[in-house]
Amino acid sequence: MKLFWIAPGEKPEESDLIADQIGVGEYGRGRSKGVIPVIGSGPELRVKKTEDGVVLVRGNWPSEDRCLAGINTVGAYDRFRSYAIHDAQGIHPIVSGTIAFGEAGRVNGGDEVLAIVEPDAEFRLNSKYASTWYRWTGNEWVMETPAERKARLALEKVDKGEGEWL
Amino acid sequence: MKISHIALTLRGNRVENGISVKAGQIPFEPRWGMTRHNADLLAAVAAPDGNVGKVHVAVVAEGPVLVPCEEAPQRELVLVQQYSTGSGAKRWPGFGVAFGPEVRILSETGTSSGSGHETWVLVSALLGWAQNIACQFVDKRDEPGQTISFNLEIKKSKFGEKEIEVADSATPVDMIAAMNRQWKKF
Repeated sequence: MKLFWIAPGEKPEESDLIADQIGVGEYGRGRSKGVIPVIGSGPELRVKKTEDGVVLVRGNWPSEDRCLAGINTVGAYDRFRSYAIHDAQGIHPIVSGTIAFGEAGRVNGGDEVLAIVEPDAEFRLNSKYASTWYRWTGNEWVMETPAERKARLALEKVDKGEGEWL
Repeated sequence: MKISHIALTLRGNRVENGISVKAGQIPFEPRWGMTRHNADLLAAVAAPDGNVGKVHVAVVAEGPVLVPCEEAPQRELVLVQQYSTGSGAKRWPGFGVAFGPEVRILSETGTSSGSGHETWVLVSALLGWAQNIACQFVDKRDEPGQTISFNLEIKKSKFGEKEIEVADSATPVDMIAAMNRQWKKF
């Protein structure tokens, strides 16, 4: 599996897999940090569950249509904006952490999650003013605004003969 | 049964043939206000970028879908571009429509911040509705903002007598564009 990092409103970036561990979230008050070790060498990752926890193993594994995604849900500072993974389908979290604003970590914040993503999985992230839909096709990430997604779904439904004709 | 609609764009006293299409949908491109938030879907369109003239209209949960056709139109599909002018054009009237039972509202979106604002509404209406609204709007400086209702007393035959401004350069946006052209020449 490939590993991608995703932040609200930004294009997913593929990771080079050189780190010995992957961390999500932050240390500190009102926050939490999740860390997962990475062992072995090679261009692909697989997730292995052990008695003591989960590890990522690099190797020459056959490529998969699933992928790993580190999803940071927190956009720019806003007192009340809902920062989370919204309307998720096909996302299986492995480890998660928390990111917060302010020294005391009590102002606002959200999760950062490392997850296995199935083909055709999708979810929505809020940035400060807008929302963006992310969809993993099994090969690449597709980003859509809510209106673009609605337009695509509406056209698909009409192609299937659904809807009311005026 | 599918009813053929003629697609029109209504903005103040102007009625233009066709509704523009970009990336499979009607684009929301207001001249007043800001759109840093997500605008709602006005309509999905099964046509390439450009303009659609005559369409069939389907409605699904996500919103309306326009499919181009070639049949003689029986109704109008009107993109009503309501606006309130912003800083620098406060003396020009805003344009609004009081929608009555004669139209079916299909979708709506608007700006949320900035100077001035716009609300675009896509409606299915009787033939002649857009001209009826347009000929009642007075687009002159120092006129108050107007919210216009469909007026049955204005007969369709009278549209010709009341001049509809189609390419007049009296609106603030056109004036600014004309000034820019003059400045470049200078």
